[in-house]
Amino acid sequence: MAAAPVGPGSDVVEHADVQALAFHAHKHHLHAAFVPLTFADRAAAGAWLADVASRVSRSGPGGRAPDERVQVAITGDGLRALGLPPETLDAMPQELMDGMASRARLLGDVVDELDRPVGWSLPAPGRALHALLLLYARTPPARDDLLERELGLLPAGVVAHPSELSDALRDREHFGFADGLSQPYVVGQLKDRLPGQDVIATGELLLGYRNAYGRYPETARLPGVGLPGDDLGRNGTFLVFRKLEQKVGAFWRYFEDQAVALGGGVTADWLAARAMGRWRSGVSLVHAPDVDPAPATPPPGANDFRYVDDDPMKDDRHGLRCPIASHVRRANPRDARGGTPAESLEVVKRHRVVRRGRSYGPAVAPNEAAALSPDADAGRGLYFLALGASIARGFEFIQQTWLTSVGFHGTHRERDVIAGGGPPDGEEPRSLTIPARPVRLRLHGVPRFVHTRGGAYLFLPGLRALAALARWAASPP
Amino acid sequence: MPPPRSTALTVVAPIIPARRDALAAALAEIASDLDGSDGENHVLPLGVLPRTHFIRWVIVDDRARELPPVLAMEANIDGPVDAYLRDLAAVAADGMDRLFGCCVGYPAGGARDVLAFTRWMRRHARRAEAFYCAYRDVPKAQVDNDRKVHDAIREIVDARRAELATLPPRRVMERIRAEVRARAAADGLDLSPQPDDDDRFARAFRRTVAAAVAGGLVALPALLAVAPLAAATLRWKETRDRPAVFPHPVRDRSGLQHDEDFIVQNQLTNVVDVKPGWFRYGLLRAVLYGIDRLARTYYVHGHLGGITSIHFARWVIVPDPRPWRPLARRRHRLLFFSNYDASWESYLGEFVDRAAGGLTAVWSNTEGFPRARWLKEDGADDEEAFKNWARSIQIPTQVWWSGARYSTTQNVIDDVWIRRRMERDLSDQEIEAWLLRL
Ligand code: HEM
Repeated sequence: MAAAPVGPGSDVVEHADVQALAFHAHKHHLHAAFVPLTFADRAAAGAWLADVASRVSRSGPGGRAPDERVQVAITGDGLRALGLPPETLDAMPQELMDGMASRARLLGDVVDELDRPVGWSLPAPGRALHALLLLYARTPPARDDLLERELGLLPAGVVAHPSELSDALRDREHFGFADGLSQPYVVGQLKDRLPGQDVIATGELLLGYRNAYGRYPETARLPGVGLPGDDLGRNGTFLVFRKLEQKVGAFWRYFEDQAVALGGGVTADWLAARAMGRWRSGVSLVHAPDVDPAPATPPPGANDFRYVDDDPMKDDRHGLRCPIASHVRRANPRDARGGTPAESLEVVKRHRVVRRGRSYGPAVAPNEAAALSPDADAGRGLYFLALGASIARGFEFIQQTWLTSVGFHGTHRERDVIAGGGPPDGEEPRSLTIPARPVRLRLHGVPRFVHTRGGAYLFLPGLRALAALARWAASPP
Repeated sequence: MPPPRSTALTVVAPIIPARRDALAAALAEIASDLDGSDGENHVLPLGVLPRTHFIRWVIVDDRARELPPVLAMEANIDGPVDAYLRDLAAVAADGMDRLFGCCVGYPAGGARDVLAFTRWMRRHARRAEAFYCAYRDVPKAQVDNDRKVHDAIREIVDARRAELATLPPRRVMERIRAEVRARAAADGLDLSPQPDDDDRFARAFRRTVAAAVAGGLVALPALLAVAPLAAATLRWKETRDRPAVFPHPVRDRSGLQHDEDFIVQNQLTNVVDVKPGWFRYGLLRAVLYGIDRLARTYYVHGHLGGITSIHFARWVIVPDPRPWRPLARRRHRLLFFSNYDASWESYLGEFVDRAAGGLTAVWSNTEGFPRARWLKEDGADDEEAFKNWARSIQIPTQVWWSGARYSTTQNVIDDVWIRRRMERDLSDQEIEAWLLRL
């Protein structure tokens, strides 16, 4: 059954029914806690969902945001634990129902011979992960109070795992690079479009709206709980949550060693910028290939660039400025994915995500990082959060086809140095090609600096859907 | 000497019901150790096969359980089929006997009776209605050689980079060339100069176009006469088609994904019934004929109508084997075999993004395909329905072997391009382009 075709005007986003995280990064709420939960008892889970729904933040126009923000997302196992009927579960995407761990190999994570991920601590071994409670506040004490209050409100049948804490939303991730610069502009969002920002269809982010193919994707139905059209999907989206440990010491040590070995004025900063595709300041290598103009904050046009240009002085189709294999260029090849630039942009728009990542663990200054002892080079990283209406076509596609793929765009036996994963060090050549004249530079045996420590695929329901789930679990019709 | 032609060999033979398990066991043994390097594959170590780019064996069951199961072998080879079959008999007789010995009518003397073996294989060989390769008529030996040449260049550039970086481009190329030459004999590299094949294909393409125009002119009166009727029939049929309905995303229940994403490439085997009646059957063959002509003359370098990820692909029709049935109940099946780069999701995405029209023109003649308009419109444009449909007709492939585990189509094309220019006089501009591609 095609999703009930929505009438004219319905592509106007129903912000009041959308969880705020879809459209808001909660940038003023610097401190966060992510609480993994297990639904030990179904009725209790229903009662809790009904209760927390009243505190869940919804999207809405700007202005002074409330002091705290609460969001709730549910895994495929969680939907099962709520006792949803088989027809509803079957209509959920396979990747959600199978769970992130079952996709570990395709995501480039280290797996054992049964394809099970190795080195994961989230969820803790043997514990089911059913939901994630996402809490955001302005100060550390406020966050701690919020966490304490929410934990106190959990009934006995909903069990919290140790919380994952993010202590400050910094504008730099742990390797030291400005982050959060490139985000698609979603039709219907409340904020204005920034220079150079790509426009993607509402349906690429939210279920129930027209997507990049001009279609309304199928969504799951849940009858008898008062949902309009029984549509459980509408105004919901999917959330990818990944805990990625960053070996910051190993990262800078490696690039410092390589810089010394290469000589000729090459610096660790220059090399690391080739791997990332931007300078630490956030300035794109397309704009400034040789030296970092190092503005204190990324300039307003920092994300306004393309890779292909008719003007040979600006053209970078060969990656002589920004290497083709760099993280930023792999993660969003913009107009350089093949075919004409316009065709490329059209295709790339079908594989975008909205990123909501936050760092965890103590920060370390890049110039001190190389001196970190192995013991101290642990326990920090990125909670990578990404939202989109299709995990398979969005996050997984980027991760698998662009970051992890060893043959991306003519490269040979290379993976994304930042987040491409792959088998343990030494098991493959893992090169990084830096195009140059007269001949390219190539690094070999690049170690893995980022290690996946766990994660989950979740459904971030709309507000009505959340209430309906609560009703169903508390007393199925 | 012209290069040997890229050749599609497809053998489809009915399985003896009582031997099905033995066949499955033999295939599983091959799959557990494809090239025989672990000593576990006593059936058929695939590394020994000559002139083979990709090869697979698939058991094709009939979901409706009306048609007997068949064993299909898809081999992408160089040069004539007969010579290849003789080589198979010479280097892999036991393996052939273990596999095809499970099929109906296999010669009693097995592959050692070379004449009987080749005759039997030929009898069960099915023509590819359309056959595409990304590097047409580049033999396997050349793919391997050119990769080694490129690898040697890579090593040289890595080792000498500091020094090379100070030289003008022409000198850089000369230095590389000298060093590769010095290693050629010891490393068994063939550097002999080789022309590009663009002209040959361009001529073939012109001939094809000329033939199509001439044929079209001759047939014009007839075409004009039947066109309105054919178009009306098509539209009438299209409105009465019954596309498969996927209220839910198709679940992968046979572990297809479990077999995916180990090496650079993946594979896909699809089986689907052609819509009944001569009209759809004829239309399908006509469309595939057109694709085949283009694939042989125009889409010869790296893309098939914009799809860049396919190394080799083919469509094969397996006619209904049952002796006599009314037209409307005959079940001809369309098999599609593809050897492609990167993930299923990206491959199917490329289909939709770049070649929806062509694919719709083919598969709208088969059962369950999302509704098409005017043969090539709509259909695969419905991304979600198309992907669901594609997963629903995909079947597990028991044995699949790639002769280029680390190379994407682009890698192979680059290797060939680089080595062809190794020993040529190039302009300054050409040298810069050459160096950029290393
Ligand atoms: C620890 C791991 C990672 C680090 C340190 C990291 C860091 C960065 C940085 C510094 C940027 C540039 C700033 C910006 O454009 O906003 C960036 C961009 C981006 N990253 Fe990551 N990233 C990581 C993992 C990932 C993963 C796992 C994915 C997705 C599957 C991803 C997808 C992207 C995308 C889509 C962009 C924007 C590219 C563009 O639009 O130009 N990143 N990342």
